[in-house]
Amino acid sequence: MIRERIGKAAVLAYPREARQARGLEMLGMTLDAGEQSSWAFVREAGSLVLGGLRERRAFTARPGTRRLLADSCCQAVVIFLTLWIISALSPEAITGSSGPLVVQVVVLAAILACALIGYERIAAVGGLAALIAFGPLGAHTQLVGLTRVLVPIGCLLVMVHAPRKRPRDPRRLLWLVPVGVLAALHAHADVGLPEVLAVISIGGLLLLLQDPRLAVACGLVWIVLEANHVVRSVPAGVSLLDVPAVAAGLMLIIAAGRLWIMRDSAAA
Amino acid sequence: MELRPPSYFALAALIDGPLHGYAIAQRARELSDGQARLSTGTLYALLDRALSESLVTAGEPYIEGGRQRRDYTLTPAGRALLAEEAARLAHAARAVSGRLRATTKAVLT
Repeated sequence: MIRERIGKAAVLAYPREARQARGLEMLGMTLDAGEQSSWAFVREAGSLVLGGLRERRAFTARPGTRRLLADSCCQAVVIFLTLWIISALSPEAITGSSGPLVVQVVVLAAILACALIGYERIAAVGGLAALIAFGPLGAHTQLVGLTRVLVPIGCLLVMVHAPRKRPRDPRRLLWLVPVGVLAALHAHADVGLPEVLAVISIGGLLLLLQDPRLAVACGLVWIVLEANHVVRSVPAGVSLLDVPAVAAGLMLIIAAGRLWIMRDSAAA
Repeated sequence: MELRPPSYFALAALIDGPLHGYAIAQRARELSDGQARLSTGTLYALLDRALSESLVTAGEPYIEGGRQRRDYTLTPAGRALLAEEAARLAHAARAVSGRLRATTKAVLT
């Protein structure tokens, strides 16, 4: 019984399609082969996990590098919207004493909800409109201020042009729960945007072996944070070795390397 | 197309008739004198590739001993590829052993 549970957990390493097609068959073979000894079972379960991760990597690489980069831009939009909502939620907004800010948060949350469910094109158009309405764009916007919206605008345009083709799923709205918690923590100054992005980036790095998209997305959002940091630090002087700049550089270099390897292995 | 030893022995296991996954792994081990040890992850990756290249076909799933199984059958294309690979390996083996015999005689004399 315990072996069957371990085997079922190991089969989870495979993508859903593969699990549905031959998950039970692979589980049966693992249990058959594992009857010889405990070590044989451990070896078989380990091979299942490795095989599953290999298959996930191949599955991710199949659509090609351009699609992976477009997916990364779409993920970056979701992270960017998340951080924007968190930063917009101030104590005034929570207590309701700041009307326009509440409207902004509600609009951003609606756009994020659209993106999460799968209405990505609508979310991207809404995101562009929100950037114009609530963002730093204006008649007197300076070049240095413009740089911090270039990456989000680029990602939103990619999202309009090439949204992810995934089934619509309202369960993804659960992402709004941690967003709400983090926003509440941020409102009480317990957690900052770099910390939130750092946690997401760790997830991106953990997924990197099989899927570099989240890491690329985090790298793009780190660029936005760096641009924000530069805009705020211009009078005091800017250091090239601050946290967002280093994080953006590292994430993008590592993820680009991984993308390159995946492209080569997919071609082979 | 050149077959690597695990794929070669996995396909060769199906020469005598359809087998399910675990039986393929056991038969491949027998045929290779214990050299080809196909784990579940490796075998199903090989079978997946062989299915996509129409070298084998998969039957309907069935339950045996409380476990789900599915039999795989070698297709004529798989058989032809296996024959081609066996001929290539035999030729390579003949060429090398011929040279080894010739040079061994020369060394001894």
